[in-house]
Amino acid sequence: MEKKELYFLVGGLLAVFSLFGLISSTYAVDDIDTTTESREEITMSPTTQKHEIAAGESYTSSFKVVNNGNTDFTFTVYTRPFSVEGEEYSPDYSGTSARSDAYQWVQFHTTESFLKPGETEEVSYTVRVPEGASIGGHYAVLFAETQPDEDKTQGSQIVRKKRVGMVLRVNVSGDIQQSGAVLDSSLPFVQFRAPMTSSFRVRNSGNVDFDVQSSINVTDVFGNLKYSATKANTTVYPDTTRRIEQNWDGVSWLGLYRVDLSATYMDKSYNITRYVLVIPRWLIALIVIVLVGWAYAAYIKRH
Amino acid sequence: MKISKKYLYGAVGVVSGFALVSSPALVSAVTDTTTVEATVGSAISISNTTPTVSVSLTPGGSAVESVGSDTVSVSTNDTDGYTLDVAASDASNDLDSATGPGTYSIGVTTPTTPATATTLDTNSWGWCVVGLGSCSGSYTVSNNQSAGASGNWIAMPVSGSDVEVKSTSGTASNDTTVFYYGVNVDTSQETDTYTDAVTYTALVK
Repeated sequence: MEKKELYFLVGGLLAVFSLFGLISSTYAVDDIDTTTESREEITMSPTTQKHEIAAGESYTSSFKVVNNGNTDFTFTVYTRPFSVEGEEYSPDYSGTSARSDAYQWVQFHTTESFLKPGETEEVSYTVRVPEGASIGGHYAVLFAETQPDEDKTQGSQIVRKKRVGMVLRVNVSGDIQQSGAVLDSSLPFVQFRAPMTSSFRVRNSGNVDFDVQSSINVTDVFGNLKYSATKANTTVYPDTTRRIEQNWDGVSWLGLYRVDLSATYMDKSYNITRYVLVIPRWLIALIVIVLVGWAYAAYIKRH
Repeated sequence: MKISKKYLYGAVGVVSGFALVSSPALVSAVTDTTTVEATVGSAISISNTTPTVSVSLTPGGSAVESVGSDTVSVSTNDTDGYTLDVAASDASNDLDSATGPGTYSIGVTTPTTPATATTLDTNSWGWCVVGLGSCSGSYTVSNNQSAGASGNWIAMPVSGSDVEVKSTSGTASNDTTVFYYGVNVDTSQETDTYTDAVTYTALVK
């Protein structure tokens, strides 16, 4: 082999191996998980469904239940009342709200099924709205719940079931009153640590739910975008007030930012723009100590 | 500037090598184009790894406590986050005897809210999640510990009176919560196996 052929070959091989090296090193980041731990996982999709229908009528819909784990399970489906408590929207399944009666209108086509890993079950249900149903929003939660394997439930133990839910929003048509407003917002100028927090409170004074689209844009003092996030559909139920948060977990420990917070709902919009200073408490204390020391030294020097 | 032949050949080789490796991309670049569309539906999932939480107790001259744990993971693409609740699966929150249901049981400990969590009563059981209310202490998963040595505990609520364990405000990917379960018995507790079922609930906000 001549020298020029040798150099050509060596150069070519170097290029090929370097590229394959880059590719393989990229894949090497993800280690292969060789554990065979038993994992039972149930997934439900979608997480909410909304229908508008007249009293006395019915409709049929469905949702999916997926086995994303690596073990078989049997699951049951059933429905419960649904309402929310407080501005943080803690769920309440006890049926204390007048609008949490839609669970009585739901009939599942099947109530139990078995899934192997990777399998999906489409669960159908029919909602029959009674003639006398009041106009506006009515709510329920549809649960899919894993059932314990009887063969594995021997001895003294605490058996665990897992359930995931889909919120059913049935709007009975008629004299629908959509009404609501942003009551106030919270975006403190001085914040001591991550996350940078902001929120606004939205009141629904109508008889049907509505969705709020909200966003936050954070820029530094030079106008460079540092963070942006959007919440597409935050539901606010009738006769409730909801506090909607927009937080930035990755904010720096020290910085001055311009924050644009906005919300749109129905045909309204709400926007605020403020500056936020992120500074730890210890730094504030240090600055105060330095200033006091400087003032004291100046006083001593003068006298 | 005079370039040595060996460098020239080497450079040609490098370029050829890159061309060889990238040729599939070049070839595909001249073929037809297509639009890729993906619709991502809203979803929520919940999982755990251990099929059971089992503890054993061997009381002697004084009461003993045994602790088990369960790690629950929740994932959702909902930007408003999720809530995770827990409650007994039915109207009974006792650990019932396998041989004499309704006759023998281990009742729940006294505190009913996370804020009032405290050490286990004798012949009782409870649960806790570290950081929830007054759930603090040493939750060591092992059997037959000294009474009172295993942290603070809460009574499991009955079905329908769920306790909210976690409330988030954004998407989650395998967000884990570790539940601890503790049982305390002395020699007055009948020898038997005792069981109850609890239900974890994950729901988007």
